[in-house]
Amino acid sequence: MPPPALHPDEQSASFWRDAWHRLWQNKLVCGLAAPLCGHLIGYSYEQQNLALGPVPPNHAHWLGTDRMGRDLLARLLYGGRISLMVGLLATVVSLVIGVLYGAVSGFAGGKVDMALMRLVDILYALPFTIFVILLMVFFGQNIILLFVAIGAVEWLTMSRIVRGQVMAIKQQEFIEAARALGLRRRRILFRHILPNLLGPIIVYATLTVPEVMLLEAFLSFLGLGVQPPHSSWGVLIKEGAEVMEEYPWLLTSPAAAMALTLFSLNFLGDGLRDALDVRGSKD
Amino acid sequence: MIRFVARRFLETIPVLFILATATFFMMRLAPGGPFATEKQASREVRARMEAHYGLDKPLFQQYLLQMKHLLRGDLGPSYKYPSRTVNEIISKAFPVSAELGLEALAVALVLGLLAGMVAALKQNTFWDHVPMSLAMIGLCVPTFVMGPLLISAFALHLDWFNAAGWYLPRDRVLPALTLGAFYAAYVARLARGGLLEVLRQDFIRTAQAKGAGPARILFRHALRGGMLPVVSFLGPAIAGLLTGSFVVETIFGIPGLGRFFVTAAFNRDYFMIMGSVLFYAVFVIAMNLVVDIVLVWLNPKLRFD
Repeated sequence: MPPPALHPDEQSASFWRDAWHRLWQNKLVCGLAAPLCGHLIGYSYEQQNLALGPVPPNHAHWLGTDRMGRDLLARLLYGGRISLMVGLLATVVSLVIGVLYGAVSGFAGGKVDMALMRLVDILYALPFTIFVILLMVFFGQNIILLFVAIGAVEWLTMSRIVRGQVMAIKQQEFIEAARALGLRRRRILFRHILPNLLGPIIVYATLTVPEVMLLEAFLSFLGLGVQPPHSSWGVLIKEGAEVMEEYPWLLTSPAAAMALTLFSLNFLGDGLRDALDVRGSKD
Repeated sequence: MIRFVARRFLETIPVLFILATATFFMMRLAPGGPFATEKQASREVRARMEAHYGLDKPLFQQYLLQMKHLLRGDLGPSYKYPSRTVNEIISKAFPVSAELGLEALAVALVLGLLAGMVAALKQNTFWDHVPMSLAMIGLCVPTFVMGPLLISAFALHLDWFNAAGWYLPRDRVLPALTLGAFYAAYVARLARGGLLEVLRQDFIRTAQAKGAGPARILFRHALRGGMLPVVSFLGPAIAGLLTGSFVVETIFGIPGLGRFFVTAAFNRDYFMIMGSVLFYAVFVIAMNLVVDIVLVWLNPKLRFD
């Protein structure tokens, strides 16, 4: 239960402090920082050593090597960079589309709102995996397309959440005051309404990242994700799962890395949701 | 309620029409074609094949033709499996996927509801943390890791099940677990959240004050409201489960629908793609309708409008 309302500034400060505290509590920062120091290992993600072949973890190769003698740790860190990049960029794409769409729909109301939301309903009925697969098959496996395609299918929930919130906020007195002052609609929307939505937007963005990363892994499983010699966690997990019996270490560390990252992102999202007291309209 | 259902049916028609149109033009405007990849086919053979399937006609004419067939419920031929129509493929593979989907759904509901209820009743204790941590793991482990791990543990090392195949009743166990795990995790989290929300309310305290035991409170008073988020989630989830999972079907060698969906895209099997998109869409729309009806039934505050 929140403490009795204090001065508004003080309350929001404690909201953010609480959220920040939770962010440090889980190990997200480590997970995000690790892929950034890939070049410290001394091996490259594509440097092969066919004579060496697959060896289990040892002191030269901390996580072992794959069938082409490539250092798994180097590939894991590089792949993590790709996976997180796909996750973050696709989330940004979905965020931009979803927030703008939802905000316009909720703010305009009436017929515009009805038309826009009907379109969202239609899109919800689309089989999205098929849609992304079609895009990837038809237009080639290009990493930019990968996150645009994923982002383009993940914005629906965000737009619904934002629309609902905008509709609630635009009834409030301070918006009426802004109108009475003669502010333009665009300014009201972007300066007065959207900043009030930061909480839910951040929470759902945080929860979208793991979803996107899972989708990337699924596409990699189909061979539609990142192409060799590049790697991503999805690619590594897929390769590892194929040789799980002979070379188990090729599966364990990518799977663990991915699971831990998704874990911390989900925890971060849950924590932020509690900290910012966002009511789940998705759940 | 009959008016509500009837209106939703009428609304479905334009939705499906738009969907079919969008799918058609997206497929056709993209580069490549169903016979472009077959290297051995000479140009002449390819031209004859395209003529056979009407692919040489103007695009708009093809569109009208496709729509005409769809109106009759004819999804058309498959390029990849020339001896069978798309209708035949779907009607043969769907029962397999549906069976697996229902079993996975049972796994998800039993495990998920149980874990969610226990966690909500024992909030912030050991019995909350352990099931919820497991649920988080279930959300974070991709299906194509879960499947091989289960095979490795229960089929190869313990030798309780076959590693792949779809013949005996016990062949269903591992695929259903693999497919159901993610959904079980999701259901557990939603059930816990929904129940906690309800258990905080005044009418529960009233029931407690009147001396109702924990079991009666849970099943008689809280469950109905607490299930709302689970039901909303289950609509699209069931549609997804019943129409097959590519990953699980591939790993366990199951002749289901999910594989056709994906291979259709790879093969640019236009009619097959259109068929799967529409089949799935009808499923999602129908499930959403069912969910809306169940929600009204569960929540007396809602009305059909």
